[in-house]
Amino acid sequence: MSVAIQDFTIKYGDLTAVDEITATFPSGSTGLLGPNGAGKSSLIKGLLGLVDIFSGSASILGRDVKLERKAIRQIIGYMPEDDCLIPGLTGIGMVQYAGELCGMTREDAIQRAHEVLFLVGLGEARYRKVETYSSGMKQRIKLAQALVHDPKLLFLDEPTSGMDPKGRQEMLDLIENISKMGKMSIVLASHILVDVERTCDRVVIIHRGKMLEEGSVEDLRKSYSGVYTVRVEGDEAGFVKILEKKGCSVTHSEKQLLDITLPKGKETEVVLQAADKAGVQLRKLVTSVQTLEDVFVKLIGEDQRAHL
Amino acid sequence: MPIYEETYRSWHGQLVAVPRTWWVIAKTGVRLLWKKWMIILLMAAFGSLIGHGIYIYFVTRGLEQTGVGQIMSEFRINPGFFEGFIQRHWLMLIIVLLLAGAGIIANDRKFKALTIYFSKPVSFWDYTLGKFCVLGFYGCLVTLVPALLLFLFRVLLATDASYLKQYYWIPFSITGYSLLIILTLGSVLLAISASARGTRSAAILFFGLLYFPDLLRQILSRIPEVGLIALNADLQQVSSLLFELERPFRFSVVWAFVALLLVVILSFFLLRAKVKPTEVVR
Repeated sequence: MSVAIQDFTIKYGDLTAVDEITATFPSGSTGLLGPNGAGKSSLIKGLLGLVDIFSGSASILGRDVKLERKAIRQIIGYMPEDDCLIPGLTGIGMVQYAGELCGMTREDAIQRAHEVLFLVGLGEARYRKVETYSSGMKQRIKLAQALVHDPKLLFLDEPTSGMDPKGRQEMLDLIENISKMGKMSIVLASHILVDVERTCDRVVIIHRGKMLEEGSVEDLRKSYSGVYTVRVEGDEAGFVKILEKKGCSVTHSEKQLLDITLPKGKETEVVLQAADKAGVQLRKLVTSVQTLEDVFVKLIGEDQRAHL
Repeated sequence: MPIYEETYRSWHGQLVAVPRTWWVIAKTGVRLLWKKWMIILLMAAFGSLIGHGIYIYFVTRGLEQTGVGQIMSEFRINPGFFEGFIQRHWLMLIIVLLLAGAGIIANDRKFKALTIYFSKPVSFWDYTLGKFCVLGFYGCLVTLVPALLLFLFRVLLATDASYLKQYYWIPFSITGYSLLIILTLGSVLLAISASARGTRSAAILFFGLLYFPDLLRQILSRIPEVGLIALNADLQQVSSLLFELERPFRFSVVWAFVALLLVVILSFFLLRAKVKPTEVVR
């Protein structure tokens, strides 16, 4: 298991950024999904000891985050969200420096820095000062400094932020490649669902500092699969009313089309009975294909309604 | 051009179990500052060393051998000469420290480099010690190293061991005084660099902190204790003890030492508050 968190809470004064989260991130790639301000970055920073932990406990690769900070930081890689650079250094200098700080010898760090910079596509720009890099290049150098010592676990905080579409695709290709070729686990924090869906096997969804759901992407899709798209002729309002009474959630997706989410354990019979009772004709009844985005929107929506 | 030109390859080397990160920070910092202007300043410091060396040569070989140097105390190469040598390098030291240290943490904060540092096995103490060593290195090159070389030169010029026997303690005084200056000014500068918004404001603050209290001391010279607020007055007072010289000011040496100690402690408290891995906006 890469990361295990128990009742993990982080507070900034009165603001609770992470609220008693209990989760496990097994080996492989895990997506930390949530809208802006959900607490994703705070959770990662708390795990790395970059912000104070208010309460709870956590371990990374079997080491306690409160007691073995240095040992943990030596075997993990962290790509921060902000534009963090070490001024005055060239690309190669910065990556070599990062390697030496992690405990690599100077010779190893230089050799590996060249390798990693070519990997992230900064081979040509490696002798330029990092301050002169564009936004996309800054993202790449941040990834390179996190990878230089071949960490066992890689934390990526919004890795595609500020990148153009082509750069974004390339970054995602690279993350997929690292995940497959390297023996490292990846924790990717993002609010971009497509990025997580493409690169991660598992997902942890958080909102307002709380964990809403965790599991494999496939399992999450399946567990939220009871959604049907329906078109009716007749008293649509009456039909919706009956469905809602039976515990279904109904939304208008397109003109004359309704998305019906059935309560867990219920079958399409509920829809047929409601149609019969309301006296409407069912012209269409198909299973709606659930993406991670559908699951995410649904969970966030439910959480927001619960807080109203 | 694709983002990667090859697939990811694992590294099979061995990491050092407990990396000496402060040493990595120090040597990288020294290398980064080894620039033209720094070399010019260091050459000036060594130019001054050569000038003083020539003076020692003439005094030792000429005046002392003819007996003039023995009679006229101002020509003697005594502890006061070495203390005066370090004092004459004061301005040069301030310029070197300002050029090396004003941006040493301010730039890291500006570019959010602290997040990178503290995501590696670097503690607050590793970071601070590493940065302090950078200032210490350049500080020593304009105070400690030339003063010790000057003493060595004087000893080598002597025809017998009498000078060394009489003044064997001077190297310790030179070392103690130089390190005290560097510890005090270095820690103040680190704290200012960590608190200031940029390199320029850090430099102005540091300069002001050194010279404004000294100006105040001169204006209120009738109250000797006011001198305690001036760092250079405190340092001179302590140096008079180290070099066994007449006290230049009327306040106690112990209080001068306490004042310097307080400045160092306060600086480290300020550093502790300002050097954080991430800026938390509340």
